[in-house]
Amino acid sequence: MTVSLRDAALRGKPLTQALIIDWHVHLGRWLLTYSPVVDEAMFAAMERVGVSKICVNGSFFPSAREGNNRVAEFARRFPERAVPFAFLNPYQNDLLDELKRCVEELGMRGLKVHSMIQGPHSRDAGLFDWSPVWEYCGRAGVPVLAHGIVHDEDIRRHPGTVFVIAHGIGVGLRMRGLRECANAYVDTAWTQTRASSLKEMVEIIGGERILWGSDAPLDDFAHRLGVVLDAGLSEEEQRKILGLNAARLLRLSL
Amino acid sequence: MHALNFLDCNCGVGPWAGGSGARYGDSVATLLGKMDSLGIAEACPYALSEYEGNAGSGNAELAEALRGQPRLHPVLVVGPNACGEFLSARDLPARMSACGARMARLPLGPFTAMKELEVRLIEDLLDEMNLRRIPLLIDCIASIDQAPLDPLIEILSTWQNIHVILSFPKVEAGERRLFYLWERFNNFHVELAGYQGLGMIEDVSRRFGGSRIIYGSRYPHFTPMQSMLQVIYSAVEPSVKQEIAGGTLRRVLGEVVS
Repeated sequence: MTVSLRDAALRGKPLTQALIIDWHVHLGRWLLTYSPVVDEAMFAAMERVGVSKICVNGSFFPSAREGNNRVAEFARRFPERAVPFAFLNPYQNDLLDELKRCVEELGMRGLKVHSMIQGPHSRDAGLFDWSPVWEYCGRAGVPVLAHGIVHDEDIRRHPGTVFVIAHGIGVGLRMRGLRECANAYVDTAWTQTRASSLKEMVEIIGGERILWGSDAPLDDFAHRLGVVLDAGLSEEEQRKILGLNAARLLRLSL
Repeated sequence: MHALNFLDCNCGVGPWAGGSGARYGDSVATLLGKMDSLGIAEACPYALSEYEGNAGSGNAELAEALRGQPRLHPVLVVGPNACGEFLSARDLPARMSACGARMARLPLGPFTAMKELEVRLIEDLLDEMNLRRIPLLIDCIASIDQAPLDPLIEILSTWQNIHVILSFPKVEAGERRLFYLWERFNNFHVELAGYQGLGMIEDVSRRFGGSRIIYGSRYPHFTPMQSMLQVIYSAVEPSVKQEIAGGTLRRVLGEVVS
C-alpha cells in the first residue's frame, strides 16, 4: 500500500518517494538571526526529511560578488545537492555584467533579488534600471526569485521572464491581480501566513505556479514541509509544489 | 503515525473577528478533528475571542465549550486588571479550579490591553500564580520585542515558581535574549511554533536540555503540523523529543496547586 507524503512525514520517514527541491535557501549566516546550522551542515537535515536539492543564493554576504563566488564554489563541490542562484547589488556592480558573469561563467541557474539588502528605493527612485536584468533572465531562461524590487508592471512587461515572489503564499490579493500572468509564481518560504493561505493560493493561481521554499537556515526544512502536507491539497498538487514545478523551471532532468 | 505523546500548549478555539468566516476561529470539534488527524493527544486551548471584545467573556465561553473534553485543558487569558475588567488575582484560583484550567496566558500586542510586558500591572496576579505554581504563557502576538529582557528577568527571578513559556510568531534579532534567559533561569521555556530556525531544537537541547522548548502550534493561525514535524524530524534522542512534545508541560501542569 502506498503511504501518503503526509503519513510518511508523521512517521518521521524521509520523503524519498517524492522529488523535493527547496527553492529558497541561503548560504552563510545572517546577522539578523542566529543560525547554528549552515552550508553543508544543512545536508544532514535535508536527508532526514528527504530534500533532494537546494537552490542556494549568496544574499547574506556583504559583497554580492563574493557571495556569488561562494555560491558557485559550493555548487561545484556539491553538484548533486546545490543549484546556484545569482545575487545582484546595484550599488556594488553593474547589474547586467555581474548577472552575465554569474550565468555564463559560473553556471548560475536562477537570480535572487532582495529589497532589504539592495535598498528598497534603488528601483523606485530611478537610481537603477532593472529592465535589462529582467530581459536577460527571460532570454536565458533564468527565473527570478524576488523579495521586493519586482513590481507587478515588471511581471506584465516581461511575460517571458519567470518571477517568483518570495514568501508569496500570503499575498493572495496581489496574486488575484496577477492571476492571468503565467510568469508570476510564489514560494512558500519563511512567512507567518495563516494555515489556509497555501490552499487559497492554489485556488487563485493553481498548483503549477507555487514553489516550495524554506528560507533555510532561517527556517527548518521540516517546519516548512508541514505547511504543504497539511494544507488539504491532493498528493499530485503537493508533489508539484514540493519539487516538480522547480524541476520544470530549472530544466532539471528527472 | 509517530510515537510521540503531543500536548499542544498554544492553540485557540472559538470565533474571532479578525478571521475570515468559518475558516478562522475553529470550534472544539474542528480542533479535535485536527488533533486526531495528526496524532496530537492533548491540547491547552484558549478562547480566541478573549483577545478582543469584552474582556472575560471568552474565558467563560471556553470553560463551557471544553466541559467534558478530557483531552482539552482550558487556558485562561489574563490581562492588566487596573480597571477591574480582567480576571483578578483574588478570583483566579476559583475560576481556574471551576473549569480545570492549570495555565494562564497573557497576550501582548498592538491591539491587546498590554502592548508591551509591564510587570507592575500584573504583579498581584503573579503573586497568586507563584503561590499556586501556575505556568504563564506570554504571547507576543506581533514580535518577540513585546517582551523586553528586563521585565522577563524580573518575572523569572521574582516569581520563581512560575514557569514562563514565551511564544512569538517568528524568529528575529530579539532571539539572542532567549539564550541569556535559558542560561540563567530554569523556569524559562520557549514555545516552538514561532521558533523555526534550522537546527534550533538540537542546539538548544544540547546547551540547556530538552525541557527548555515546549511544543505549541499557534493553531488555527498555523497548522499544528509545522512545529510537529520540527520535533519529529529533529536529530535528538527520543526522550528529548518526548520532553518537547509534551513531557515537560505535563510535568509543569502536574505541579500546579489547585
